[in-house]
Amino acid sequence: MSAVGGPPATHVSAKIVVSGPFGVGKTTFVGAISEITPLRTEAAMTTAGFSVDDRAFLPDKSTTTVALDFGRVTISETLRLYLFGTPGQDRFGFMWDDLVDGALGAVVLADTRRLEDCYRAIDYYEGQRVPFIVAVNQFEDGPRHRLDQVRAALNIEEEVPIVRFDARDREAVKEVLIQLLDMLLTRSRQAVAVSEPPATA
Amino acid sequence: MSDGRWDGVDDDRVEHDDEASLVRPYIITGGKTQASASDLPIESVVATAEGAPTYLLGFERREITQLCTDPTSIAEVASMLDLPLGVARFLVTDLAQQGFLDTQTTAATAEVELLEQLIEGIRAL
Repeated sequence: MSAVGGPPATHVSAKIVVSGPFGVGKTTFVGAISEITPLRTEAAMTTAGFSVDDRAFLPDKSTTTVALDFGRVTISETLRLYLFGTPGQDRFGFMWDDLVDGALGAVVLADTRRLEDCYRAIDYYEGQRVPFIVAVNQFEDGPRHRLDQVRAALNIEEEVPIVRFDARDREAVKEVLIQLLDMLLTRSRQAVAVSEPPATA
Repeated sequence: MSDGRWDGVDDDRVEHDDEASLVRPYIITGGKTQASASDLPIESVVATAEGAPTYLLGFERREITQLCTDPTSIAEVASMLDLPLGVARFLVTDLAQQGFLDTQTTAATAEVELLEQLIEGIRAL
């Protein structure tokens, strides 16, 4: 991004996106770890072929707004982690590309009472080749499927970690993020090893 | 929430305001309705350039430069100034290209050292 004006950048912004169906706990997840209270912004105009004149998208004579979950974690003086929740409703799907662009990876939140509702997020991340993990937010009245059953039901590959947690628990949220980053770290180390083979005689 | 699971606000709160904004987003952006690849990412942090002649700017743009005397991310600009995210992204990118704002950040890529820093930092929270 240093192509755009001013002195060289001195800070790094890292981004992780949090997806899952309406009501799965994205707001809770972001709120559990963010140092700022969730912010809200409006989804009236964005990219991906969406025109503000497309009346099909906007209910008559009204402005549609959607709360965008947004959190910030200061890691060091020069490194900040930003968390964005993707809108869970289909009609806000046009926002996803903006939100996901440049993200290190994604957390897909699942609810065992309606696992099928996170197919869409999984499809999206697989299609965009964005690394993700699945975190089952265990609701008290939700069935406690074994995680291998969840994996089978969602039809996701072995390399994709699946964890069970409680989105209200800050420590559990930290652990989910660490699991995602650990997976990314493993991949990066493998990539480095491949691109820099040990010197041979 | 029907399940009574949390006390906080719901995900994806959606409202239909009866009073639509008098100014349509494409008026503020000068007709632009689509982001371009060169637009800054929404997590970019920007700061108002020292000595920039911000008095030359129109209302929304000047407001952004006032807010960004403290380095602020685009997402926060949108929220604090009540601008749609796409509009804030466009205006901030535009202001940065014109030299009114300095970009303070580079986007993180999944490099070993950075990931290790993130893991360590989150553990320590």
